[in-house]
Amino acid sequence: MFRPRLIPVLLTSANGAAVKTKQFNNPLYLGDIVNTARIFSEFGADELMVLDLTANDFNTSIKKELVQDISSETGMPLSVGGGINSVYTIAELIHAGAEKIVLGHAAFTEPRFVQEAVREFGSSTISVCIDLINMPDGRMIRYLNGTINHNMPLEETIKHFEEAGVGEIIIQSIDFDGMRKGYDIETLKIASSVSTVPLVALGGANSLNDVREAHNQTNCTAFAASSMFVLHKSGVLISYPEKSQMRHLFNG
Amino acid sequence: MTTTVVHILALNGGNISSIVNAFEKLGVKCKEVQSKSDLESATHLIIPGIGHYDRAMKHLQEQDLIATLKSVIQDKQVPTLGICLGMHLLAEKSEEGKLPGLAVFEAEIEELKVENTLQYKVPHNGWNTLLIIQDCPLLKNIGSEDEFFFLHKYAWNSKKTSDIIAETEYENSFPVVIGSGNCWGVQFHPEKSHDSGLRILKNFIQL
Repeated sequence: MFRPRLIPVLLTSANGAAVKTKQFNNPLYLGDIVNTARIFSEFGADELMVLDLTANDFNTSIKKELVQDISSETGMPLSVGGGINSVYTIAELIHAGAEKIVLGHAAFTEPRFVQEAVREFGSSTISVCIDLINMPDGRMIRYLNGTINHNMPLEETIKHFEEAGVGEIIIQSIDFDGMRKGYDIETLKIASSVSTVPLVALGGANSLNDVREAHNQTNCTAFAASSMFVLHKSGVLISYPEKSQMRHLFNG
Repeated sequence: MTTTVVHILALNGGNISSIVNAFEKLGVKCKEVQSKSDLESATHLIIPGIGHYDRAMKHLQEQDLIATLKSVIQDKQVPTLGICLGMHLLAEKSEEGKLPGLAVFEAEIEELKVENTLQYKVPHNGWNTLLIIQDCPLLKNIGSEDEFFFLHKYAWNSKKTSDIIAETEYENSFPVVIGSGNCWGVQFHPEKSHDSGLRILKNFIQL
């Protein structure tokens, strides 16, 4: 029986440290990222998403050495992102052990890059992360760590990337990030009904109840979270549900 | 510890490090196939998979490996496991590309089509279980509760039902474990399916 994925997200800064943010600010140090990844693997995590937050600041992309280190210590699929803007980089990261490549701002600033990446590596390998923020007058998509506005409605943006051939779309709600008050259900309902490719929810989850709510109310097929898996109250604690809990969560 | 060495057919853009790491957990060393003589000396062969059909077949053509590969699989009956795209290459052709496949099996690869696009998204990406149709050594100690990681947009369409070992259900059912003689194909990624996947790889080495 098919079930949705539950994906821990690890954010890394330049020195290989795992961090956690709140509304894309105030990174809190969590520990060594390779070690953290290994723990998730030991817990049998469905997948791991590793995003390099600082890559854009330094005009680089997530380091292949880091991907290699994480891949060699883990037994589940790895999705990586952070400043990826060339097919050469994608090839290196796949060779280093990544299953999926998450594109961010390059997908918005270089229209043909996504198509090129899909052509080279296949749809299934390429994901795009759409960051957005809910404002009083509507939803605004932003890129480059939430600093630049993208003036196209969400539905159109999703369709645009689908047509370019991406295999997966991640919707990250900036205003929900780290707030631990549940997912951005209204946005996810719309996004997951428009999208024909798998949609990953990210931002705001605090517990499995939040995942259950999003599963019941939207058509997302993957639920990503950071706080939920790395924090307990305000302390660092790595956790992941047991298989039986997951089966119950999605089928019960 | 075992002295078996698994040969991996690198396909120019393929991800072999995950497979190497997985076998390492089983105490098995891997060697990347670089030439015809590497292929000819293989006792266990993995055809990995991530990437595009035509790119992979073109690479095999350019490296002049196709005839040797077919001989190793079909004549020498060297235990061979195709994973995801690697499994697709064993078929006659694929809707993903224009080039012919290896035609080791009578089958074609077709794009996954779903009716209910609200509930079923494509690619099939996530963890799914197997509907085991016939016993086989590759699925020893594997049951209906074992979950495997899938990530694919194209699926096997068999012209010979005796090749179908197991299916999975995703709106419709389609073959995800196929085999004949010593040649097998799995749609999922055993190297990324935790313990269930390692068990498959362990069964494979024991062939």
